[in-house]
Amino acid sequence: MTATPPPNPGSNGRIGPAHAAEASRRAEFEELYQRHSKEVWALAYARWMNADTALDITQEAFLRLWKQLEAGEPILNPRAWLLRVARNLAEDHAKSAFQRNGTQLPQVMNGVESRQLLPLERMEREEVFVQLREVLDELSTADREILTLRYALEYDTDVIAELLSINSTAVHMRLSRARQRLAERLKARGVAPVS
Amino acid sequence: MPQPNDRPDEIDGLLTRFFQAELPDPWPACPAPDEPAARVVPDRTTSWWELPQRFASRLSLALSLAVLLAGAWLLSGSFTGPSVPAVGSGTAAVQPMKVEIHSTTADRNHGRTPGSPNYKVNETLVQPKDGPTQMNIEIIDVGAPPRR
Repeated sequence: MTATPPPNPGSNGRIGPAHAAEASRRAEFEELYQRHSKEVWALAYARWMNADTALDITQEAFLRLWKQLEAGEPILNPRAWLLRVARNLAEDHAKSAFQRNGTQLPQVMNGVESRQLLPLERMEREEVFVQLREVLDELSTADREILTLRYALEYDTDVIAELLSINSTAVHMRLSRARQRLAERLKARGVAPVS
Repeated sequence: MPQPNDRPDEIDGLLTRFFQAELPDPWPACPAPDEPAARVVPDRTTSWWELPQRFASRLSLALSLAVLLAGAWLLSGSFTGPSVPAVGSGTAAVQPMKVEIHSTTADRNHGRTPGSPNYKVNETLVQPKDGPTQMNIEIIDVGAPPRR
């Protein structure tokens, strides 16, 4: 965690109210980042299946949060605010991504190809991941959100339900259906999960 | 209600490995938005601080507009058109061009509206050597035509 540098004291050696407010804002911002940055990333990732794009969106979302804090505008629920901003940014990215890449999906540009020779097991795993990524692309964004929160952040269903504002039963059902669908499609492609 | 992780299976394991591999490691530190260095485009070893594409595209759009406006300003300002060679001269000498058009309403109407006022219109176009094209229009009332 980045330590907040102490505010510079004024000419009389005392920290004025402006400095104290700035320090407080920074501390609040860092705490929100520590608590919610991975969740924001997870939702952005679920939309685009691209880790770097999700990081860019996460950065932008927190930059906007900082501007809100600097402007002194109150945010009643920072978590919900961040997730909403992240979803909007992810949709905005769709327009700019089309202009940049045409009809190519971003993940096609995000190949993991390496010119170095890889061990056989790693090659097999990469191939399985490529297949899995393609199958995940066929799911809805909502299903991918649940999967990302569950398997990337290891959230349990209650936490996922609270974050997505749905009930735990719905989370269970969607998780179960998504897993079953993935298993069927991977099997249809002749892909066996590599341990 | 049983949690999904109470019954690990192959798909669970695969999904865990996949998503864990996608998660950036180490997780980027909290940015310092108010420090200029935090927004500088980083080197290629890290993608966290890379300038988002749309900022670069907006910059290029702004530059394009600036070039367009500058060009339009230059063209509309002191631009003088290409020199018009004198007819039959066979040379590209730059000389002021003067075109005079004389007409009267009687000529235009061919006498179809008897009793209408009769005006004489002189239209002159002057293209000086250095300067914008000038157009002079002179309307002269030559009086109403006689009734038939």
